[in-house]
Amino acid sequence: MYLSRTVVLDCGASRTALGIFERQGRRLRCVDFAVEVFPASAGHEDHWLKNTCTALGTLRIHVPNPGPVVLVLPPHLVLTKLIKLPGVAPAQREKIIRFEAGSHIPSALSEVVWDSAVVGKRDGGLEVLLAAAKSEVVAAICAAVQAVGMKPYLILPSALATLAGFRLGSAAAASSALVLNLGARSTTLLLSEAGGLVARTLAFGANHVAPQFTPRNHDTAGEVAAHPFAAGGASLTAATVESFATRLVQEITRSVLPSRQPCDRANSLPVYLTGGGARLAGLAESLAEKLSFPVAPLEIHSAIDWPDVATGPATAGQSLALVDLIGAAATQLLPDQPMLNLLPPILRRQAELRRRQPWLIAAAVLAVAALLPPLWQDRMVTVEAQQKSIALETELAPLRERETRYRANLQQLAALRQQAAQWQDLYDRRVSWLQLFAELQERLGRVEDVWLEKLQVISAPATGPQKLAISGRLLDRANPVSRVGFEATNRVKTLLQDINLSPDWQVAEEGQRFDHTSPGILKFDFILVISPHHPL
Amino acid sequence: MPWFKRNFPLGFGLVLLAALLALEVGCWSRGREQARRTLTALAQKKQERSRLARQTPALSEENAEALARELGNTRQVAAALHAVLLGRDAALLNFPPPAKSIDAFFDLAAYGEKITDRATRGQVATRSGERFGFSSHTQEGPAAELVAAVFRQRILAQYLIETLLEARPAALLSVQREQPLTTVQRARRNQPLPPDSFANAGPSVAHDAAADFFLLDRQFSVRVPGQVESDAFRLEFTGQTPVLRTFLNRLAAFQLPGIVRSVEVFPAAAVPTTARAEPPAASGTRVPLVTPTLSRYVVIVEFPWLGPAPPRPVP
Repeated sequence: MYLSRTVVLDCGASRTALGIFERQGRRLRCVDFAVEVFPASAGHEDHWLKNTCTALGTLRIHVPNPGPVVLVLPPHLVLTKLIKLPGVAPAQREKIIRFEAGSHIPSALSEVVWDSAVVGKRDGGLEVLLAAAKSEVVAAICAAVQAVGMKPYLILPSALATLAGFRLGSAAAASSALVLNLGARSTTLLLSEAGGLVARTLAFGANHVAPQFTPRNHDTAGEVAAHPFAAGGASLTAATVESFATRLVQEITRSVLPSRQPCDRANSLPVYLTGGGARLAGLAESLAEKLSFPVAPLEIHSAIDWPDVATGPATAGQSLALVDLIGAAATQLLPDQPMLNLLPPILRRQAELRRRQPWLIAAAVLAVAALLPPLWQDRMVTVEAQQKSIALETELAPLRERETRYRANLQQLAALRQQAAQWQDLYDRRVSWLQLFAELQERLGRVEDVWLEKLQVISAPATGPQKLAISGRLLDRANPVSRVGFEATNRVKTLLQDINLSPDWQVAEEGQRFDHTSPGILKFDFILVISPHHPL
Repeated sequence: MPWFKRNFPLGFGLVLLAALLALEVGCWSRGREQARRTLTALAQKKQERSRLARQTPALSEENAEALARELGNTRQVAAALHAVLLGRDAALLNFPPPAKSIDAFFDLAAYGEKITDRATRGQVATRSGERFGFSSHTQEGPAAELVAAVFRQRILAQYLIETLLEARPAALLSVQREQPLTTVQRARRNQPLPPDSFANAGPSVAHDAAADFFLLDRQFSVRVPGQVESDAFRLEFTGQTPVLRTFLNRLAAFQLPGIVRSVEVFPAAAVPTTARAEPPAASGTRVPLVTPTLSRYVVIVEFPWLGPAPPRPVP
């Protein structure tokens, strides 16, 4: 993902530059830019950090809304090594790179911040640029940047920024080129060839040519950018420049040119000068004479749309000091730029968190918003159900009232019927004994000459039928002084059968006794079982 | 915590959103529960509507009016039965009871004298000094809490004995009543008794230690616990069949609601001395094969107490 706007802080050895860039199509536009210059001399890192912090505080006013920022570290703080790797799988490559980093970085890996980037492919292998910087230095510069309210999310070594600036410049069309970034305290050599890159950092720079030079801050950024060698360059002697060129050629011949591809060694190699030292008078000509290659300043001024003449660097020469600034912006705004990040892990995590912050918040907001539809749905369901319930209640209320009245009336009716049945039973029982005696009397009358002598209620279980023990006598007129005949017995049996015809009682089989001992009289006993349906 | 301090805005925002999310979850849970409850209530009301629609008979105004008419008719029947069962002389039972025990004592003494006088005039033999079921109050009146109950028993006993005397029995052997009870004691009487409570009580009665009282077998009682109470009396007298017939017929006239619960007949062993003497048979006359004899009758009569008149139907 490429940004459309970026803020870059180029922390050079003798000045700190701030630039705000935007991408417009395939070109970059500088929205704002400012440079703070301070004295630089070798071996005074503490002053460099102090001066950089001061410069950051001054540059802060150019950023109304401080946020993520790209830092470019000066070459003298970054160790760069080019290693070659065989063509292996990415996971294996990571292990090899870590191993190589342990071998090539002179400090313990825990004490440095390091990263790598693939910068070329050659002979079936990969060329990887290792970059490392002291953790404490990086942490200090990051703290200084954070102190002014900006948040570093990428720290680039100067070499990669110079490479990106070179590729952005007009000389990018060249298949092979040597770029000399002449800084105040160091010089970066970049040999860019098709399929490869060679990077060397020389521990001397423009200050070795003019150590007495002390630049001043100026009001306009363009003057500041052009200041160091515009003011002091004229005082340098030709011998000094010659000596500086000779030293540069020796280093180039010793460490860079042997790295060229054998097939290219016969070809001419264009040399581009950039950085503050590129404007030393006579340096380009001296280098061209000694190297036998064409030497020219890097043309980058025209690759950028500057805001206006007053605030931008007035000339292409003045833009040379801003190559790293512009190159760092190019790594963020243009595609296909080799890149590594020397941001400390903790800050990288913070930066990653900041990068993810919008997504985190969006996810959280989405999670919060995701519950709104079901909440609304439940609310709607509840409201709809309540409305239906109210409508139903209106319909049910009279039915309930009617049902209550129904039930009350039905219960009252049942109670009344039960009570009426009880009272009817009482009323019927008032004559039950009379009816018993009347019916017995009627049956006795039909048989004639028979009467009852005894009637006794037999105690029975509470749930059993009532029983009456009855004794009677029959007069046998045919045998008044002798034993009664069968005819008398038959009359009694007829009587019992006649009594048995009533549905309200029954003569029990057991308990029937007949006594013929008295002359002319037949005594009989029987038990009358009263129907439980018609109790007495 | 250091992370939170380093990323305070983000942390605060996330905490805020988390709180908002928790609040939403709470609202959502509560909303779902409320929706569930509301839907359940709605479903219940729908079920209730279906149930009410399936009611048999249907909950229509016509059926309500028909039910009200049926209720009114049943009430009229019950009211008629209630009026009949109160008896034609129900006002007798409405006399206010004596206020004090001593008043009840004098009332009972007057009752004894009156019945004795009626028996003498009707030539019905009675025992000397008979108090007709209230001999326990020869020396004293009933306890204060029993005055009303005893007074009611006295009214019923007087009606019962006068009705019997009108049938002209040969002798009035005994009059027994149930132990008078207070309201609480009556309620306790309705509690279920052990199955063998009446096992040894004799065929229908069980004599109390005092000659005044007897225990009515539940089998013959018309009492319905909580609905119908009663007072029962046991009369023992001698006479011939017409005496019993007349007595029962007069009771059935329901001057007071006396319901015969038991009748037992035994051959009379001997006629009391004060009974009417039959003339001795003359010598040489024909002796009948069957001589008319007296019978001893034991009749138990129960007077039910009806509850109040039937309630009015719900309009």
